[in-house]
Amino acid sequence: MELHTETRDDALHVTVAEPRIDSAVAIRFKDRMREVAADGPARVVLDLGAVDFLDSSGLGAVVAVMKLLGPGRTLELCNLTPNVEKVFRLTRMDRVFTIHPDTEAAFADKRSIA
Amino acid sequence: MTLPDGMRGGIAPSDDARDASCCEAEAALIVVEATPMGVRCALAEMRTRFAPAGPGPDLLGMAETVLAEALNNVVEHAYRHGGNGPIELRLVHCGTRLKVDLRDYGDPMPAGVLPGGALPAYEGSGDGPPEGGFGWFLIRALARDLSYIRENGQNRLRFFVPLAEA
Repeated sequence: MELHTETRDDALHVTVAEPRIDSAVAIRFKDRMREVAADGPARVVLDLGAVDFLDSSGLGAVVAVMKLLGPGRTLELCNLTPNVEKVFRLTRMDRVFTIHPDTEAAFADKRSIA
Repeated sequence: MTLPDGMRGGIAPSDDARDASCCEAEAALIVVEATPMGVRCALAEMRTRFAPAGPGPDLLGMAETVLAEALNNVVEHAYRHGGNGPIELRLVHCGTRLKVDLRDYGDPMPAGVLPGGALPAYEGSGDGPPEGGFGWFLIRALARDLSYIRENGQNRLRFFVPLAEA
């Protein structure tokens, strides 16, 4: 499970460099996210632009990552591909996460869009 | 014979091709082992088989989602007492639909019926959003004409998925 991380503005920008988050890798994804986000900024932006496919295991893992960050930290998403976006929308998890259309929107000056 | 990534069999014309009422095409038979890698293999084979030539919108995305959930259920529930399958998948592309016939030899569905498709409830539970329970919701949201029979030790799930852009 390849993740690229970069601290950007006030946030940790995590890019998933894998085409799938499915039942074969969901647990590894969660474990790797726990590692890379440990002791990091309060705001974590997960970039799913390379992910073409997310099943319910993958969706559950993204929810689990949000929970393991704990109170006071947030997990936001950006760059969802059409199939992944549809899974979030159908399951109404699009209401649980702040979802940015692209990286620029995720890192725009938040005061201007607040 | 060594097969990659959990693939146990290849594609062969199905015996059921004659039963395909809406379509003359022969069913593609895909046989995989009941493991997460077997599921990946079946989905990749589905795309290889049914992706249209050339660029264009992805019409198979939701079919892949439904198939993944149905296959994952077989791996995680029907074969939970052990054994790696097999899982047999018979697919026919009929116009704007993908017809699916999914068979396994694991445990029957609880009480012999398909689970419901409600989203897991969590508001007010204090536990936050659910980390699971989305599988049957997605299947019921996207599949049509679902039917299930248990016969001679075999589970057989049939449905079709409209082929459409996400």
